[in-house]
Amino acid sequence: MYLELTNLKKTFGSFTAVANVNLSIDKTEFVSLLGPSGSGKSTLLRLIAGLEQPTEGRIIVDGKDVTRLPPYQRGIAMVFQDFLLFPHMTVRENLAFPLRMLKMPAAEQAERIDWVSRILSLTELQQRYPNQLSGGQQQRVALGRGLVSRPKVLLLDEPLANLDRELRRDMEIEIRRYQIELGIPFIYVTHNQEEALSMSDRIAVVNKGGIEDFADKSTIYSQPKTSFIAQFVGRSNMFAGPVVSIPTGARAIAWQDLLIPLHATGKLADHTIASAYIKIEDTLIERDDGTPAPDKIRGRLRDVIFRGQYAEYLVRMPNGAEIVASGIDSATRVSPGDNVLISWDPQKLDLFPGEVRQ
Amino acid sequence: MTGALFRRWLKLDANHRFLLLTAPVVMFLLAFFVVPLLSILIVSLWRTESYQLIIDWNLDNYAAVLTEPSYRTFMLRSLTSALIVSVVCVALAWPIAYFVIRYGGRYKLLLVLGLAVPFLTGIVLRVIALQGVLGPIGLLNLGLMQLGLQPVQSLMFTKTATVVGLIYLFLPFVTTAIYLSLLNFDFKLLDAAKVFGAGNIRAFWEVTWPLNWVGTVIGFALTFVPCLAESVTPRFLGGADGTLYGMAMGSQFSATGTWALGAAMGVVLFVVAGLTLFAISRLVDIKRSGFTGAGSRD
Amino acid sequence: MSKTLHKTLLGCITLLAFVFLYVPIVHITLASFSKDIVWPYPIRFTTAAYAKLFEGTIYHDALWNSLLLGLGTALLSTTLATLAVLSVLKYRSRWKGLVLFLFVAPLFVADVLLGISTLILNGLFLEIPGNLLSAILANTVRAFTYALLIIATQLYRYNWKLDDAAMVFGAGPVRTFLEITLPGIWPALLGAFIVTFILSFNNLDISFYTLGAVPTMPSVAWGSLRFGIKPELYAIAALVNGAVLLCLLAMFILMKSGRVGFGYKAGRDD
Repeated sequence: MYLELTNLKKTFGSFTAVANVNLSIDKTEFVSLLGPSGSGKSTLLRLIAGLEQPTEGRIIVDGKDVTRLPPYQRGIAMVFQDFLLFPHMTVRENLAFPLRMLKMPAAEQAERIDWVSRILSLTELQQRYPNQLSGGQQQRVALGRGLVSRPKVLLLDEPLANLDRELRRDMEIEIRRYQIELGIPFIYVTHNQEEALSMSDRIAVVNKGGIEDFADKSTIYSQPKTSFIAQFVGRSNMFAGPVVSIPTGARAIAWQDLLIPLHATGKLADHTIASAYIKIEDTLIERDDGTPAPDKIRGRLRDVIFRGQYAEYLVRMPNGAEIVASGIDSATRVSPGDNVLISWDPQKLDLFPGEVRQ
Repeated sequence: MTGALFRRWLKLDANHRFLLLTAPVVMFLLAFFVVPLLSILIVSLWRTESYQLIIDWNLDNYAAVLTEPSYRTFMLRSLTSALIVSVVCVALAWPIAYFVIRYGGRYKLLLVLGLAVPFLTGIVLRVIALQGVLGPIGLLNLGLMQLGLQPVQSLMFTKTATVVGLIYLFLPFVTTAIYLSLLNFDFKLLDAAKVFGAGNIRAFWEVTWPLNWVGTVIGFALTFVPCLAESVTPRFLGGADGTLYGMAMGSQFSATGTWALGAAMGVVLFVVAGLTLFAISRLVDIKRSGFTGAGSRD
Repeated sequence: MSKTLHKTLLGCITLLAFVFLYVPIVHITLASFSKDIVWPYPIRFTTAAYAKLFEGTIYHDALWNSLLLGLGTALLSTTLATLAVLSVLKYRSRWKGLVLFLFVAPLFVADVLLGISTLILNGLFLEIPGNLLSAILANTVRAFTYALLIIATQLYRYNWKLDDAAMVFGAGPVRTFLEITLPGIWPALLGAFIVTFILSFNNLDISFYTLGAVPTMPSVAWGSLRFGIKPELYAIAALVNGAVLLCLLAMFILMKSGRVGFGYKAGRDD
């Protein structure tokens, strides 16, 4: 593999920021490190960049062990969260900085800067200083500075966090395009699952310094390996409670005063605590016309939140709990106050043993 | 009562509010700073005769200040020592301020205030303290003798003693100026420099130094200007051939009573300091100072 | 690799600087308590120097005058500087550049020049003999700039919208200043007050030319220094150094504890 992290570990005093991480990344891959703040994903990135020294483990880039190399000898580039453009240099000088450090001949430098300015539309801005640029423009300069030296790996540390929503969506597409054009791995740190899901080939979900799962994005989304991933990726309804046997011979989770039937119980024994997740788009809602529906949950529609292409239906159960559903037949019309039925395909329910971490 | 005033206040635009609020301060500075300076200028164009000031517009005082070789020597001496002191202070203050910022941890504030103590105790007390150490029978020489070594004869009453004394006086001040500059510097920029291929030393000269250049220049100027005018330190540490311009100027007011000449010397000092400041300010490109560097805001 | 080396090197320079700055102070403090001020080691303890200091009436007057000078200057310069900082930070104006220039200009004019210019104006044009008030005013010119810088560095992050919020919730401008602004900014003002007090208390160059025959601590010390080092001078220096150290210690404690949360607490009590 092109980039290999082996048993990587980083502790700060008694705090373990990164615990035994193993990752192998291919040369043409776009990989996201997705995790909540404080999960250690930024530390992991800084270890790869060389800005932190690992306590244990090895980092190999393109067949070469760079673990003990300082950041400036690794041939890696980085786009920082708050851009970190050099405020005393013009855009052009910022772009030239990595090239000057490589002692590249002036003509070649100019060529590279022109190339990167062209693809990022920075040509007009070259003589400006960073404080004369908008957030989006600064972002593009930061990206340009990362790309201009054609690094072995480009690390991106939440580069879109400071941009507004629309700009972010455009940039997601752009960033993915440059990665394909350059053919180098991009490692993208984010806490925003939409960004990770839209750009990546593979996603590593980071939690408490470790990797929960590293798989392609559809697997991460639709087959969560741990309850943490089920909670963190996508939006799900969660049912937690003891596992019980029901008269049909199958098993269910006793959640509040409802029984949530389970499709595959695996090795879960009766009375052990388990939690089940169903994505809101897999949670179906229909009008309750009074016909008996033993497999469905009855509730009353409290509110509808329109999200553009889809809507979220907030349904209150008789027991007071609330379920969010967004799977609806386009012919169905329900409005707040209506009695509704909630259902899902039990096969789509993700089941995990153990207590729930909130 | 305040209500009515407040309503009138609300009707004013920002410009008027600003002028109204700053008016007392501006008046104060005009009356007690600008007008006295102007009065020096006027007196410098008059003449003094046997302790009497005579209104007689002329430029003789300036001619005297500029042609008299001893004044020129004093001025050159003052310029040299001020330059040496400022450069040494900046060179020492940088590592100190850098250490306090980077490695001071929770003792940062204590260290900075600790540096300020000697500065705040005033010139006279510090000269007394320095005499106790550098004097012919001071700590240093007697310490050497206790160790059975030869005392150093020329510690006190030399130009070097003046320079050491002035460094002692101004080091805390320059350190504070550079400390404040570094306090507003975003050290994460060094991460960026390193990732893009700059070694530690290169990153310092490419990023840290230019972005703290303004603070450094201010620290330099704030040492240079008072050093140029310094009169107390050389009097007690400088010895016979250590007369500086400030001393010569002061004696026009105390010993000889030649106020008009002293005033002219004051104007010349003011102009020299002003020219130096102007020259220094030319070294600063405000666009490259990173003052409003949006990339470096928290 | 070189990170520890780097740290050690910088640490050594810092340590040496502290030694350089404090050895003279510690030495004369020890000497002031010793029978032999020239070579006080080992110390044979005596308070003779201090007894002599407290006997002399000239020192009483000098101390009293210095205290008045320091207090007057600190009060005046802190007030003016607060007004200046508030208006500079809060309001836009096309005159701001010019006004700011005037505000910081005294910093770049040497003490001696401030002193002799006031001397000339008072002595020649207004024919006022040297007095404490003109010394306070002249010292305030210098101290104002220091106070301005201290307050400005502390306040430029202050959120002025808090004031707007207070007014929206019904507080008048005076009330807003007393209950919202002041609790947020008082540590900066106190810091400026302490520093300007100490500076003008110890000032020689400005005071010397503006005070005439009125004695202050630095001028008395300066006067007797011309006749050589005396034990009382060491005692004065030790006392003043001690007092300054105490003031800064108080500031340190205030900055560490007082600044945090004070402004918010006042808001919550309402």
